[in-house]
Amino acid sequence: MNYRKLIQEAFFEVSPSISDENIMKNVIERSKNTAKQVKHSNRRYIPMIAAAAVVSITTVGVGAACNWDISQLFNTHFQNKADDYILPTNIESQADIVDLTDMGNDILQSFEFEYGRVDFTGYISDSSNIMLMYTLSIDEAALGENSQADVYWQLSDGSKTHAEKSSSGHGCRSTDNSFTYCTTYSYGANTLTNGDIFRIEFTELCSFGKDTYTSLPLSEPIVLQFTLENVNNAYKEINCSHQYTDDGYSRSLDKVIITPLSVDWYSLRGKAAQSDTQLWESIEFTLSDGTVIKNYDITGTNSGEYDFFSAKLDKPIDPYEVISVTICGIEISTK
Amino acid sequence: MESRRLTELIKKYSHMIFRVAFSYIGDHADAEDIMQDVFVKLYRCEKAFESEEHIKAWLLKVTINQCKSSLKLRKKIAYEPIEAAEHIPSPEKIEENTLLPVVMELSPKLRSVLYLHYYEDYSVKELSHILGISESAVTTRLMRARRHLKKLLEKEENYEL
Repeated sequence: MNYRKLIQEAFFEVSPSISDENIMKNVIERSKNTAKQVKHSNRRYIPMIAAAAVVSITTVGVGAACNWDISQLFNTHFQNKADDYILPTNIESQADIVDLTDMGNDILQSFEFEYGRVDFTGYISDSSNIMLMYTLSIDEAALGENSQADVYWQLSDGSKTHAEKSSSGHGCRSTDNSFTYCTTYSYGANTLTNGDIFRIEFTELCSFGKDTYTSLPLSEPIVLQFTLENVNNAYKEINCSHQYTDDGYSRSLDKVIITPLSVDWYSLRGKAAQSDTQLWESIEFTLSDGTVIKNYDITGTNSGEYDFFSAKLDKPIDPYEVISVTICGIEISTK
Repeated sequence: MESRRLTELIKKYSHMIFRVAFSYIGDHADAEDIMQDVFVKLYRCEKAFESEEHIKAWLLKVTINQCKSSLKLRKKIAYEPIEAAEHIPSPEKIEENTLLPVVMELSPKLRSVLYLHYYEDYSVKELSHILGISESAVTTRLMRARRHLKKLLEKEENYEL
């Protein structure tokens, strides 16, 4: 296919309806008008306190991919990480690898609750994960005696009201009382598709200080629900059987699944074995251009006779570009 | 900038800017607004351009930025997805030009990179500078755009691949 010819043919007749003379006239006119405009100061958000009530302010969803610039949000988060991170990660700055244009989705749902306000801004998802982004604005006055300096507040879904296997989040402090989070909910191997309903009930406001943990139950849960769209269904599944010993058990590494947002693997537990290693904490993978990725944040959970591990990546990748992955010291070719 | 110089540049670049904006926004009227906004910026710009290529690259960069801002604003105001196909100039044109509606089904970023690469002849390296993204990101967008376009054209019965 000759794309050059095709594009030239497509755009050949596209032209403005306005003449050059009129453009000139309008530009001069608009330029004069623009010069007269007064610059408005930024609006400032003042938290409203809705005692014992959760008020849905806006629940407008945008149906299609609308260029939510998650790349930029990722960059902002992880650039801030070194100075002010909430949860410890191994993540370092890394160049963009994939174009996320088609993955970003707006949510645009905001809720006010007794301790402040939360704005759910957007999400991206692949067949195994949903990464949700939200900004939490805390009203210190409403916290009363629970108010603490230098702690990070975040929303928690407490008893896990949805079916994810694990979740991990990263956040940064936007202002003194405002925090922005990326939380990834992991559902395991290739389970999510367009049209699935994501529903989560946040039931408590938690704070993490250096040596303190506070949990404040919400009078009413904040219920976030939306239908998944633009799920990136690229994934690579490698079935294997590698025997190893780690974390007190003999094990078999049986399956590895690589999606844009994570590398997941299933480790079948065998007999208890003398082992005090934590090999699962170390993973790296190599892309076809030679790039070695070591940035991730691992969560692990039991899933029947298997242990399920999920390494969340700091920047989404193209699974088809991964040529090998090293898990628990075992290098697995993914070609 | 002097008015005479601006007139020259409008004559030279108005169609290019309009097409870039149209490829990104997909709306004729908005693309014209963006084109005029870009020229307003140029008129008020006190930057000393080194060459004609420098001006062209600056105009493209400003156009892309205006398009991005416009899309963000549109989202805030309308809260509705942008249906590119609805904004194509007129039904007559659609009948005449069967390719344009298909290209406009691609996302704004994909179709604009296709336009800049294949119509304006910008290399991957130049596009990286204009769009403010890495060369590998440009390559990925181009690859994805070609793949999507091919799929879309395959659906079109009248188009022979």
